[in-house]
Amino acid sequence: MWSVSDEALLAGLASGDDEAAAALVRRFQGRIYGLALMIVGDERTAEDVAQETFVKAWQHADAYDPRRGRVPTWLLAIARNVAIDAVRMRRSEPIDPQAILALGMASKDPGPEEQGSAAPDAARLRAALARLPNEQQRALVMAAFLGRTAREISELENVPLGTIKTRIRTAMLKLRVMLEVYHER
Amino acid sequence: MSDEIGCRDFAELAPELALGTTTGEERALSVEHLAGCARCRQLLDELSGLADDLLLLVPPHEPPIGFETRVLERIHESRQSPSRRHTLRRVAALMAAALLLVVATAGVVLRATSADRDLGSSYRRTLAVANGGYFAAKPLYGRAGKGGGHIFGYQGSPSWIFVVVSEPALSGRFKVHLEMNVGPRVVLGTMLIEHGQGSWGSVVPVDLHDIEEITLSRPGTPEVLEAHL
Ligand SMILES: [Zn+2]
Repeated sequence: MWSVSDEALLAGLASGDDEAAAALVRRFQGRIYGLALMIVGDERTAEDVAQETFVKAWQHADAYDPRRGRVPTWLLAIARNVAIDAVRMRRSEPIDPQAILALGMASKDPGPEEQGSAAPDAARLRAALARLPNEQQRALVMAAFLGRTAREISELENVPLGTIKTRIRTAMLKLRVMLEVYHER
Repeated sequence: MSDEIGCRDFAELAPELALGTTTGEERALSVEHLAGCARCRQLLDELSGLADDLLLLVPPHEPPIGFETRVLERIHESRQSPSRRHTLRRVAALMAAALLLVVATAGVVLRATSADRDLGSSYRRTLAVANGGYFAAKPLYGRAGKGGGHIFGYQGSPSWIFVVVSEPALSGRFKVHLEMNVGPRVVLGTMLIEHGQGSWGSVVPVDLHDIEEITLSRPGTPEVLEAHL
């Protein structure tokens, strides 16, 4: 089972192969649940979100296009959207972006999970994120993980809209440049 | 329709577009520019990839015991419902995304509801596909030239087109024809235009690249609107 590709497992899930479905769930449940827990903040909702993510993955497996991204990011993007919806539905307290950053999102040290194959990219991105000023990290985290619009962030941070837009833009463009330097394309 | 934006304006919008947090109006402004600018499609593609990669940074956390079993049970339950419904729902979402653009362009203020954001993310995916040249937004030409509306085409499984007409002089039922590089002309369906306004969408059974043009006509009159895909 170890050598089966993510794509093959997803295809198996789509075609009703129970073994492939179970293997896919086992392979990604930690990351999906981790993201869900981070966004919604409680275990019960996080499990609901993670379950819904796999159901949606099964429903939309035929829409997965390998040219446009890898299976892990595809699944995580689904989880993010489901989690953001769950948060909006419950109108709970806004999650503090600082708490998210404290999870080691922006750090020069590689995370514990980064010994694997996807390691170098994630480690580089993590290090690049760590080099941004805190105000840019916060704005980016709120947009990227919590689905907040620039206007919402402006209200939550009590900072003018234009400033928030600049922070998001600068953060994204800086990350892009830093990663390009690493890639030496 | 909307004011056209240039590469500089697009670069300002691109990061938020990639993060999926733009307003409908901002998305509408960018679509026309993207349709004709390969450099900005490349920029959006890179930024979208970056936004997706950020999700990989989240530390994993093992779910409660029994999670796997409960997920597989839910998938089994969902299997009872016919899969065709899922496909149609997906097509509906993509069409709605295209429609959203048009509504926004028409100056309607959209609230950032959950549905809007969902559409935002389908739209982003659609744009991502557009980077491969699989999303088309083309103007419809009337007898008086440009300005009759737009046709959105999406290449996927299934592929679809979405027609939006805004041509004050028109009213009634129009046949939508599809002309391909080879083979006969195909009637896709009938579209209702009221007081010059109408929108209509359909799954197309062919590859978008093979479509030469799409025309709208009425029995007894020549083509009134056409678009080249
Ligand atoms: Zn451009």
